[in-house]
Parts: sequence; C-alpha cells; structure tokens
Amino acid sequence: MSDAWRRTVHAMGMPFRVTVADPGALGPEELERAVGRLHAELEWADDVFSLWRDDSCISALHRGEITIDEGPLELLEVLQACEWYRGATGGAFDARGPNGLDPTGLVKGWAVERAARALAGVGAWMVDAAGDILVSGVDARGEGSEDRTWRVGIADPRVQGDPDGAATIDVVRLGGRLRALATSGTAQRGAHIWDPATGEPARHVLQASVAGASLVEADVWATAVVAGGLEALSAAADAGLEALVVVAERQDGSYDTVATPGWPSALD
Amino acid sequence: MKASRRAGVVLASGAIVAVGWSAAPEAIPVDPTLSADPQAPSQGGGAQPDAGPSGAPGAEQAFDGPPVSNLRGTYQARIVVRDGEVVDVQAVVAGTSAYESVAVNSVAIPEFRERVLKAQSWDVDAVSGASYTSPAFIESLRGAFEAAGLE
Repeated sequence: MSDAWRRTVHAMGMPFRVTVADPGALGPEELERAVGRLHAELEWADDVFSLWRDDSCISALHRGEITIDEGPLELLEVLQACEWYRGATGGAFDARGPNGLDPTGLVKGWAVERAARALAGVGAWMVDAAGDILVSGVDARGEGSEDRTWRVGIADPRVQGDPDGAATIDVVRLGGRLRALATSGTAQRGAHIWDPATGEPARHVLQASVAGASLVEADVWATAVVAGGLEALSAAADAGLEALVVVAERQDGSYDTVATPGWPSALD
Repeated sequence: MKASRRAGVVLASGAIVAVGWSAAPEAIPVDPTLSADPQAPSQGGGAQPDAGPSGAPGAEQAFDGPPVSNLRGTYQARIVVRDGEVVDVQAVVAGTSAYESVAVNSVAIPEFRERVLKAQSWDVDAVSGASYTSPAFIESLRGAFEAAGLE
C-alpha cells in the first residue's frame, strides 16, 4: 500500500480519503487539481444540503424562506430521488423524518458520485467517504497480480471509532459491477435510523453492508435494510444488490449474519 | 462460492443465505471509566478530565466535543485519550435518544475466532463501517479532538 497516492479532504463534517492506484494519463499536478475539484464539489453539496448549517438551501427550505423551485436543480433532483427510493424500498428508506424532510441518508452517496466525476481520466481510484466506498478501475498494485480488485474490510459492528483502526469481520473485493459499498448500523452512535413503520429507532439488525453499482443505491439500501430488517434485505437482493447483514449478537459473542449469494467476500 | 454458507437457513426471498460466524468468545470487557453518562452536561468543547491525573503515563482522559444539533436531534462525541492516542470514541448523546453505553475499549478487543482473525490479517484498502454515518457526530468529534489538543 505504500506506493498508493493518497489525499484526504474534509467536507460535510467528515473526512473523504482519495486513493489512487493508477494515475492513468494524469500527472502529479493534474491529480492534485482533480482532488481539488472533488473537494469543491463536496463543499458545494454541503452548502445546499447541510441540515445543521443555517445558511444551507435545505435549512432555508425548512424555514419556508425558499421553495424547492427556488433552490438549485440538484435540490429537486435529490428530493425526487428520495421519493423514488422510498417506493423502491417499500418505504424502508424514508426521508420524511420525525421532524421534517431529511435527505441526509442519500446525500452523501449522491455527492460522492457527483464529485468523483472530477477524477475522470484517473486509471484506478477509490474514494472512502467515512466508511462508504466508491471505486473505479482495478487496483493492480502488489503481489504480482494483474487483476487485483480493491479490498475493503467490513467493520465489526461492536467496535466504535476510527474506521481505520476498527476490527473487521469480513473482507470484500470491489470492482467491476460492484463498485460501491456502504454500511449502516444501529450498534454505534445509538440508533440513528428510524423505522418508518413505527416511528421508533430501528432495532431490526445490528449492521447492514450493501454493495452495488452506485454509491447512492448502496447507501440507501444499507439504510433501508437497517430500518426494514430482513424483508428489506429480500427487496435489496431482488433489486440486484449484494449484502451482508449482521442480524444479532449471540450470548457467546458470535454473530448471526445473512449474506446474499453474490456477496463479494474475499475470504471464502 | 461459499459452499459453507449454502448450508444455512434460506430466508423469504430464496436468494439469501444465512450464515453465522463467530467473534469474541468472551464477554466484552467494558472499562468502567469509559461508560458515558448520558446526563453529562455539555461543556461546549471544553476538556473534561474524567479519569486520572492529566498527563500521567497510562492515564486516560476524556474530552467532549460540543453538542451539534440537526434535524435528527443532538449529537455529542467524547474521545478517550491515553498517552496522546485516542483509545475510544463514544457518543454521549446520539440523535433523539441518549446513548446506551456499550463502549468497547478499542485496545482491549477480545480475541476473535478463526474467521475474524482471518479478516484481521488482510491488508485492506479501506474499512466500511457505520461509525461515521452521522455528520453531526463528526462535527462534534472534531471539537473533541480540538479540546484534546490533537488537531
């Protein structure tokens, strides 16, 4: 890993780590500029969608100072996507929170997908959006392998804190069709996902990791599975996503887990 | 793939295979000094020397970030520092409900059984986890790092 080119930028109150395994046609200065553009796009998304900043578009929308039509087109796009996914997940993903409209569950993945356009021309890259991962190309570093895909650990749901230092319960390979991976959970930070059916914090499963073709769908479905439990997992599988769900912790400390047949574990 | 998984229970969709694997054969040791008090008053990012004399080798010190509110409620982070390194991150307040402390000391992660050990030994490019799904929590966490003089 020592030969990877890495940069970390901060936006939306979290770190985004960019790893480049193959710079492609881009020289060092062009790479820096590309990451600068990615950073600017993420900050722009924060300007529009931040719920804890008074000066964001969505805060103004909540205060009734602007209408959806008066915001940028992307505001409408994201809110429509939230509604679309509410339907697709059978209501398990629902941006209509207890206090109003909250597209936070979709915005991060959406913003990363959008910002990653800045990396066009880079041969192989990975964006780690505080634990949600998007990759492109093949990580061909090391071990003489010509086709090594990106390897990403799945965090132990019990372990809190720095994802870089976290214990992992599985390792997956990302690339090709499955270029995005997102994990949601209830074990950490208390419950931060609501079950739309009850209005209470979701307690169905401990953690859901979902791999898919886009970070928006991976992130939304991970949230949906945590909120909607195994029923939502079936729907995710039917929608072509792959998932690993930590259902419960047993008395002896081991986990009950459920995986779709195509879950890209590297350990089997 | 995964002949071992196919032996598991088949769920509703028929496309899903249940597996179980083991982690942490023993109870998770919870350091009593790390138990977050949900009622702890916020200190607006100020340092809270909860444990041990400041600066003593091996002593743990807790630092709280400022409470950060968004539509989902209020989030507040606490970090525990020992010898200049963060050994635990906790949520003092998380969203609409006070955090139910299940704090795990990250330097005392229990032994894991075979599969998890295998996962540990892999050199990975990143780790996917739910740790940072709340941006408001991160915002508070940043304050805790500043309070601890680590950023």
